[in-house]
Amino acid sequence: MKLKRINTSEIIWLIGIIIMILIILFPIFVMFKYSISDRASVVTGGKPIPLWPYHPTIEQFKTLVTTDRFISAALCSIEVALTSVIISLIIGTPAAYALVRYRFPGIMVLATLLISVRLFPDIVSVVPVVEIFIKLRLINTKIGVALAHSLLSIPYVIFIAMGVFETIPKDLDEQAQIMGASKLYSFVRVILPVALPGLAAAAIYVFLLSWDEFIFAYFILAFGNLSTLPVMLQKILSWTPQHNLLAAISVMLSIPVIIFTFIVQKYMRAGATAGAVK
Amino acid sequence: MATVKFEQVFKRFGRNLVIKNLNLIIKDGEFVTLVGPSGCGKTTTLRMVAGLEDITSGKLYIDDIIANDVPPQKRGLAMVFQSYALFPHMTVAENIGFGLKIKKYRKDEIIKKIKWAIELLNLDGLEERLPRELSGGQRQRVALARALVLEPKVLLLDEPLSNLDAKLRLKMRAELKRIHRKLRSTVIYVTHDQVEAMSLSDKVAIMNEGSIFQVGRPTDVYNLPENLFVAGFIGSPTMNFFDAKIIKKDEKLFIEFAGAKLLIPKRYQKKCANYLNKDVIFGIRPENIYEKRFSKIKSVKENTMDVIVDVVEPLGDRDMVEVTKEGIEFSCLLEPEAKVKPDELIKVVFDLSKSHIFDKDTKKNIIY
Ligand SMILES: Nc1ncnc2c1ncn2[C@@H]1O[C@H](COP(=O)(O)OP(=O)(O)O)[C@@H](O)[C@H]1O
Ligand SMILES: [Mg+2]
Repeated sequence: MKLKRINTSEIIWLIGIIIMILIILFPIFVMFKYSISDRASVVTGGKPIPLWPYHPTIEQFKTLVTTDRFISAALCSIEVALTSVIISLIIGTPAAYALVRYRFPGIMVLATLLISVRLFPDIVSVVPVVEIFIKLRLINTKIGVALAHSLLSIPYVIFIAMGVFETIPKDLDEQAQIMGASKLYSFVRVILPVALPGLAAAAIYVFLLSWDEFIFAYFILAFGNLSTLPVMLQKILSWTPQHNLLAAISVMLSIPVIIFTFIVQKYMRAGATAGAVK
Repeated sequence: MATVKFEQVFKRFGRNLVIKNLNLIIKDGEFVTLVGPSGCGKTTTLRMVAGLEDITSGKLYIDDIIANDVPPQKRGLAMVFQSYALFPHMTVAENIGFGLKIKKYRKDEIIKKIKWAIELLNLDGLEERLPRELSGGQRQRVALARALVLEPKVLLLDEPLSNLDAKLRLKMRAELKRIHRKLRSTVIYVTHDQVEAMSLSDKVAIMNEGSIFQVGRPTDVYNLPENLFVAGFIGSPTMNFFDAKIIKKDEKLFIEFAGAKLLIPKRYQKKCANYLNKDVIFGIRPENIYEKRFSKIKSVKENTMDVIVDVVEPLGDRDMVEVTKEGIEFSCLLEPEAKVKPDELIKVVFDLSKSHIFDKDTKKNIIY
């Protein structure tokens, strides 16, 4: 067997890639390490903090999952994120379809208006939104937070979905209509199923956005007893928390993101439209 | 089953006039082909019948009812797109049953009809496959099955064979013919391939730049093209054209080109009288020129000319021979037994009873 000769530039590339991976993974490693550290590995009294805890422990996680406050915040976060996904897809997907299929003049102006909420820093746009939400009695409610998060994510859903619909040949709509399907029927039965993989990407995006969104959630929930995880984290940070407990919360925050991405990724397989055309 | 009629139909995309005064009648059970070069408006015409494009002006009748404003869902037609447009997330059976489900057929009826279509198009065993698991030819048949199962009044086919390889195309051509003979449905077929049009249709409509140039049975448009475009478009190998002049000698009209004077047949003499001493275009198909010894008609001075052989391309049953006369090139289909060789001087006989003379300005066939 002959080994392929590796030249210098390839070695440099390889080293570069390894360094980049280390840079990306290092904070994650630190977070993970802290989350399983015993108290002695954190509070070392002047000695350098060890690279690996003296006595790895899952004590912090046990504490968290038995703390009512944490559990209710986690459930609140999940509920808000899923609701945001549903609301923004229900609104954003048909809008994107209409924008793609019935092209009309001024479409770019409309598209720009759609993202205008996001043209301002969140801290600016949060004020009018909260004003309105107070009037609508949406303050201190999960649905309020979900609506705010939908407001933030709908423009992105529309843009992602427009990209998806553009790849679906118009022939499919037209074929369905000639066969007797109404526009709604062909959208629901033909176009949506074909678009599903692409829309999954939009769903992931909304979930992630909602899951770690802080400013809107904070303004809407600050004075009540509901908390999403980021809001709860802020509330914990206002007293002096243990590093290792904080790290454990961070790990817990990351887990649903990973799980959700895995579930939805199943639908993101390539070639879903293969065989439609030619 | 139904009739379709276009009456002075125009179609405009923005400022672009794409269909110009289209008039066409398609009878019940007829297989009519729209044929013409790419971009001439065939697909647009088909889409107007389907209701996918609105008609700028004029009338479209389906079954003697004006259909201009009838939505595609209500026209009761079926269409096979060039792309097939199979629903990628549905199995073959689901694709075929899609329209039946919308039309609210009973479940057992749907199953029966799907089975009928599967059998008709030899798709047995593929019912549960997804479109991406099928070959090109199979996809094409599924698209056809999906259309036929609805028993459409009119079946619209847009270049259905153009994505298949040559061998499969021939097979599907025969298949289409068989199905049409069996079902006798009204078919409007679109293709840019004139051979396909000729071999499939009861009637061909030759289109160019948004207008129909001639409508007729394949043999008629072949033997009697109405104009220069049709003459050049229909037939393979293509017709030879010469810049020519009509002259008079001994009270008879001759056609003069490439330094030769050939006698115009008696029955065309009168029609050509108006063109005396005028420039015209003379056309004759390669298969209507013979090598003298193998000529099907009597060789006389007034139909024979000396030419020099340029290139010989054996086609098997015939030789495609390029010849020149006074710098003018044309082609003939000769018997291989004539054994002509490049640079050889040979005598060829023109069968003028099968030739055509076109007005240089209007491009109309004078002897039509
Ligand atoms: N939706 C459209 N908008 C503008 N122009 C079009 C549209 N569809 C077709 N055309 C134009 O109309 C002409 C005829 O097109 P088409 O009917 O597709 O031709 P064919 O099918 O014979 O190749 C072409 O010049 C094409 O560019
Ligand atoms: Mg076309």
